[in-house]
Amino acid sequence: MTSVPYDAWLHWVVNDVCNLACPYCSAGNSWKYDTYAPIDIDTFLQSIERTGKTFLVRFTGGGEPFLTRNLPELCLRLAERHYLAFNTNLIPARARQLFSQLSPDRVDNLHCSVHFAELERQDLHARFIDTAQMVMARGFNTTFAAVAYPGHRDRLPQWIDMYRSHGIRIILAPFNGEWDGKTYPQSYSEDDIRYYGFGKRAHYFQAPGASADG
Amino acid sequence: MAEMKFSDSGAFLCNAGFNAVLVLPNGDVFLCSDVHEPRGNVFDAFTLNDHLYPCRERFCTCPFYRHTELYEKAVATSQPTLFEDYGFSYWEKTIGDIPVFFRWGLFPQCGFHFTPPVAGQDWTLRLSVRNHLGLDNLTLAIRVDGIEQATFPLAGPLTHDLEAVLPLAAHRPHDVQLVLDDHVVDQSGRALGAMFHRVEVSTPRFRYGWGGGAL
Repeated sequence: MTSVPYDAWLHWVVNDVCNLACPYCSAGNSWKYDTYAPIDIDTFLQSIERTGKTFLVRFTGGGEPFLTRNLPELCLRLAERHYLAFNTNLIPARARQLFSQLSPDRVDNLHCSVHFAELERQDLHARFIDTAQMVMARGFNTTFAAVAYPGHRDRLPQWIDMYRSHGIRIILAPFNGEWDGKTYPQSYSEDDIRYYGFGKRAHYFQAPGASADG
Repeated sequence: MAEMKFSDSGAFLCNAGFNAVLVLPNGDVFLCSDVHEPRGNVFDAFTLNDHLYPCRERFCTCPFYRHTELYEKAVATSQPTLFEDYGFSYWEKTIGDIPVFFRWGLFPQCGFHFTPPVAGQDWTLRLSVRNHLGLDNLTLAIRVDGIEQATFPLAGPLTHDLEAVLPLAAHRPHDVQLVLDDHVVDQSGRALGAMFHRVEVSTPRFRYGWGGGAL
């Protein structure tokens, strides 16, 4: 049995707002994080310390976790005894701020979502690439995942090549949802599965609501 | 991928709730994104199960069991699952028009769907209910497919252990409802009344349920 230095995993959906507006996402572009109360850090830390366990806390969201304003402060304090993981689009400035300070030893995984079309629409490719190169250079265990959205099928190879030229290797994750009257991921054809390189993960498509996590 | 464990009846034994839980933006803790079994709140107190969860979903959206190291650790260190199988297809609490899926809580009415897997057996519903407000006139009715089968007085701030034989046909889904008196809903429509510590449906051969002092 492989050992991990933590006892349990808190998978924390921190918020449901996002700075991007991807057509395949249910979070949308509400951009109302100012209305979010900051996390009560002291109360949270006291609560988890009472359990006596060491946790992996994965910050994720139906949106972008770094839109919660005091997330970096919480993470720095958590990292004194616990472990962290993130699902983030890397765009908020406080994401870059945290990853420039945080020790990679305390981060289990940094799962970066690459939303090509939105990055292009908001002219954010350079910003994403710059932060991605910083986190890789600092030694974080990093993965970069994009959604195999059928509506972007023809553009994906170009985007993937561009990112590869900057040292960023993209993994494609299946799209969950409706597109052009079809339900995905069940509607991916054999040709699609080869095209997107899903390979062995294709078995996830056999059941409604199934997904691969990147 | 770690070797996956299954119960005798074929339910996948998941580490959700044992060493992995979902936390919502308000801090509420649930077993996972598909099983909305409350485990507390990260800003107050929360608990983890001591056993694996027998889940009917094989291809769920939840990533917990895909964390190989944690899944293996859960298999190696968990206590035997309390029941062979939860068996209930869902647990529904109803407040107003909004059905919410929960396994315990405060509610005027709750229930579950249950399909007996064998014929020729009497099925017994066993409950442990606490009248936590000490209401004098609180009663609990048990209905099966809309027909009242039994009522129990719950006077006093005590935990009541109740039992009722249910008329359940094999291989057919039944709607079992636990209904508290209307008068325990206050003027704002808030539900008051009882907490269910433990519910199980059993025959001499099979036992399905949940409980074990999770509260």
